[in-house]
Amino acid sequence: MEITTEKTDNNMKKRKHSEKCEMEQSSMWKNLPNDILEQIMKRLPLREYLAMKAICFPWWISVSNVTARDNCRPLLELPLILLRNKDSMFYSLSTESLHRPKTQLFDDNQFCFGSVEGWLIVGDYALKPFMTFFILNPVTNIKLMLPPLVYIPFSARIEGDLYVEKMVVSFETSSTLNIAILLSDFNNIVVYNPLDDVWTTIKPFKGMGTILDMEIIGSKLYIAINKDSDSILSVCDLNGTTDGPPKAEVLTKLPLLTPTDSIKLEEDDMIFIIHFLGKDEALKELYFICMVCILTPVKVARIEVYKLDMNKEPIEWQSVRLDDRVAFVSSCKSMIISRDKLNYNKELISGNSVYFGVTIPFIPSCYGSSSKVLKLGKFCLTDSSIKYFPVQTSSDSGVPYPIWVVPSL
Amino acid sequence: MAAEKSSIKIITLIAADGSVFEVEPNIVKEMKTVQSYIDELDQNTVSIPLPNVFGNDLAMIIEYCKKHASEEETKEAKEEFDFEFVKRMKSDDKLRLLQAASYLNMESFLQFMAKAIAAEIENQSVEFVRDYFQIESDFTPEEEAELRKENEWAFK
Repeated sequence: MEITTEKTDNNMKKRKHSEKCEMEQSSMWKNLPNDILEQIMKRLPLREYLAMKAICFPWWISVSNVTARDNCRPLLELPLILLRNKDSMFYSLSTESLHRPKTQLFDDNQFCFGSVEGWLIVGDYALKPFMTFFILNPVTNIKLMLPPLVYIPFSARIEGDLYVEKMVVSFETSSTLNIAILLSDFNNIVVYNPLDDVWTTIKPFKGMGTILDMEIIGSKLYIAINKDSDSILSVCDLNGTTDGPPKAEVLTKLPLLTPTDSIKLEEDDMIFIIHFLGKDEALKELYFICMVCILTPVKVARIEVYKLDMNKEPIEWQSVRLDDRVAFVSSCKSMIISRDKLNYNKELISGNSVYFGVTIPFIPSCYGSSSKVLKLGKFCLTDSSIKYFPVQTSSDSGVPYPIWVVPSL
Repeated sequence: MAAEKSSIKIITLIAADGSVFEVEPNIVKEMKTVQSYIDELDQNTVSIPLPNVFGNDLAMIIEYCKKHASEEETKEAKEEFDFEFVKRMKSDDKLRLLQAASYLNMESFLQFMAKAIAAEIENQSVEFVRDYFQIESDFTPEEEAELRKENEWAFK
């Protein structure tokens, strides 16, 4: 008995001793200095970066302090494609599969019309003909209201209801928030003037024509317009005017492809060309991307990339290789990102390539009626090779509209 | 003065456990804490106690510095060395070396270690990270659930 007791005591002592050691060890890592934690955190992808907050209470405090500062961001995530329909999901390039958000992102009246940095730009039709807008961060679920749009200009509608097609937002400085909304007649743009806090509808061209796309850099709104004889790029300074609504000025012509340019076509082939304006957020450069699709059956035939050269007089487009950059194009959001910024995903993403997410009208050869087809894929500019990413979406929630977004805090 | 300083041939580093390392001046250049100490002194021989760094760790740091300070080694050879260097460390070693790097104010080595640790945490769960750093959760189950909800960015 005595021996056993002694043994137990010894064991207890040992355990106490080892517990003490462990406690010292443990508290050492628990109280990791902020600068060391920072060094680790800025090398983590977003998910693990966020998880550092949930380790223990001292870390929760440190991580909260670290994340509040601008100089310790997680690694840049690969853009995701939001597939907008009744049942919005994300497509991830890294897993090549669909992911459903934990909480439903939008209700039945809400639609995503674009993205800015890590935020989805969402419009709400609940109060039609009035409309409200907000931006939503799908990572943090934070929602910020944008200045409410008073009234959708029904006078501009051609037939039926007028809807929003695309939205661009820039908030480079917190004091100036610039917003532009492309309406579904592809003729009118509603712009927000931050100085007067008013919305104005502008038609950026005279006569008949179509707006192909728009993009915002700072307070400058660039608009690609297709008119019968002329295809032009106009620019509109949303801050610039104190007298009257902002005016669009013609900047240069657009390098439009003729459909037969170096594409081998069969006799029955139908062609569909999609144009995108996109930007390199870091370098403030504007790109124009032409995508030629063959509709029978639907496939991408060719993609051309042009960069606006602002230093030349007159200003003009240059046909460019993307080299170590990558373009992500979709009708609601297009962007160009340097692969260096995507460093941890370098093997996943090939340079000089255009990743596309488009909904293309599909015309079955024997029927007159058209439907739509979703195509996700990668077009390599070096050898014109194409890789498609097949996506299975449920048929009853409609063909989704793809929108690129870079998840961030 | 400058001439006198450059006459320092050997620097002696004394680790927490008393083990002694003699190194050449170019090896400690990266250790800003040590270098500033040397700069302040006006002596031919220097002996520096490092009470926060253990001998084993200091040996590894010196090995790393020697490799990287060498002008004969190719970039590829250094990368190969880095790879093997990380491979033979346990997680505990990495954390201690990271702290040592911070204490010695070794910028590039600190970054190197932080990268190695980040690589291990990547794609891992909260539980894994806790185990890795030997930390026990001090949150209540309610707090834990709340945190998870707050940071549950979509996937998984």
